[in-house]
Amino acid sequence: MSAGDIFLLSASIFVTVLAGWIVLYLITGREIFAEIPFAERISLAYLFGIGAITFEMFLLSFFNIGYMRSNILIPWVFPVALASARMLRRGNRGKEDTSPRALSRYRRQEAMRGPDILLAILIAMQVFYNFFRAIIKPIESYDAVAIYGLKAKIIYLAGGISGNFFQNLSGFFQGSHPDYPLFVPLSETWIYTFLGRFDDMFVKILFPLLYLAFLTVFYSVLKRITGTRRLALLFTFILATIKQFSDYATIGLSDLPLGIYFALGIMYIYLWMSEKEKTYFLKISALSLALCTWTKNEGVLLAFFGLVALLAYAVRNKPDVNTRSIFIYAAFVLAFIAAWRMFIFKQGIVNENFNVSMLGSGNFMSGLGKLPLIAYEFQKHIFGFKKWNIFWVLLLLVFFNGLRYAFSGNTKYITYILIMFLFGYTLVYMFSAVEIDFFLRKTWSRFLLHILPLAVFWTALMLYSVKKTEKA
Amino acid sequence: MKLKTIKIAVFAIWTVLWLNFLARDLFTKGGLSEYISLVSTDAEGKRAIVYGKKFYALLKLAKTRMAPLSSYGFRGIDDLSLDARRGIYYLYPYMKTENPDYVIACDVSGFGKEGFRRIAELDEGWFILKRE
Repeated sequence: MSAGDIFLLSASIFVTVLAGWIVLYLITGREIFAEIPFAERISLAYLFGIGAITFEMFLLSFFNIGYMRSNILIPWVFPVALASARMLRRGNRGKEDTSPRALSRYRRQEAMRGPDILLAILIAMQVFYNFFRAIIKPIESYDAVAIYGLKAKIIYLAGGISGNFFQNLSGFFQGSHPDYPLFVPLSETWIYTFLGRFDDMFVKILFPLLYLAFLTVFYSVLKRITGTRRLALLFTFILATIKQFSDYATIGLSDLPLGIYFALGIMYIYLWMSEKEKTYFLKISALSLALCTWTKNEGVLLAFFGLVALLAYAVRNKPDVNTRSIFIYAAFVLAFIAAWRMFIFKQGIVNENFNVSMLGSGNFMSGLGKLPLIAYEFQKHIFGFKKWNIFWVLLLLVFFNGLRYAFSGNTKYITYILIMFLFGYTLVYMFSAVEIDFFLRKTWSRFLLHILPLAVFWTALMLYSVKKTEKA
Repeated sequence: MKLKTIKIAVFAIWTVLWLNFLARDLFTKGGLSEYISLVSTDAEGKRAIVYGKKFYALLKLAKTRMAPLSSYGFRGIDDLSLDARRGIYYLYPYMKTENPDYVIACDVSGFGKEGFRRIAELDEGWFILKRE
């Protein structure tokens, strides 16, 4: 690893963050610069930057534009100019409050005590360990080489998505799932293109960075909601150290990014529900749910759950909710879904594990017979601490002991989403034509990652509700 | 029970289990010794450790001996195995096909194929055949 390589890798990450920063600025405006902490903004910038660049690369392929560093960067000239002009036009409005009073308030809030420091150190240890584990090995796990790494290599060596890319995947590479959205392959291709060479060890830094960025946002949002650092740190620690979550931050699959973008989408809806005047929460949420559909096919189902929860909220709180903003939100997410779905449809590619043709009463009836096996697999994960520590047990205890909190306030919308997830994914298993034992064994531990970050967030909210009641 | 007590109890149980599984990965499952080997070697060495030294040596040999844009097949490893997936990934843009120009034989002593000749080998069981 030469100094030049490290410089280029750092530059690629910097450009990714810059792209995300511009996207964030353009969609939310200047308010967030005053109201969202810097660490949260920069983390969101990374998460959105990688999403925006990969989607741009996908769009470039429509115009047969090859992937060169300059080709990918040139389209950003216009957004950069637009953001700069907007920034200059608005002058200093919305700058952070740096008055002595504000600073003293900030410092008073920021004083960390022993347990906080301990939690922060433990989180840092896990984060460093994950970075180390990620970049010490090349891409090597099963799906990472068979699906994502392979596609990234093919695209990079071809200098773009060639006309016969999807047909070749179907014809020559069994199990490469041509229908999967291209978020992970294109993010790897982006790094290769920026580095100017194929290096499947360097590229893995993308994944612990996603993990770190999400943990930062997760902590920041929880702290904003609960007003207590301790609870926010405790649950960030819990999420960071769940073995399955931290392992998947090092290997290069799309399940972790999916769970991350989905959780982001719902967390910011939740924030918006509490402060509806801050429409940028809704915009951040819409972008996150859109990116959730761009990571994996299951993202469409998850985005649907998010939309249902949002619509339910809008209907129940009709006088307070701007219908137009909800409509734009839904249209934006649906447009993202349609872009990829229509493209895949045009290519004539279907998912062999689950597709619309499997939705029939015959499959439903035979699916009922699968329920005991599905339930057995579910309980294996709830009580198997190896991958999840005691998290699922904790979640169930919190749920049954706090039913009145689970179905009250704005928390209930997240509870509905967790329930929809359970039923939705169970139905997928019931309808799928894949041999159920094999399908469950190979997928359920990964599928749980799709809901895990949100489930941890929900658990923290529930405990916070108990705390509020205790205080009252 | 007070929330604070619950939080402390959860944290304590959680941390014990977390450290236990971490230690198990590092010490019982050999993670630590693997990391020490990985740290002390270059990129090629790292890939050899991950793929398995012999298998990686054969893949590297295949890359140097196969003609550009030719096709290959594996013998001795299952089509859906992790080794096969790693091999297909590593060897791309060489393509794995049903009717290949080369056969990469992994740990299959005495294997031969009509119309093919041995062009390179690591030893008796690990070798490459080429269509004549």
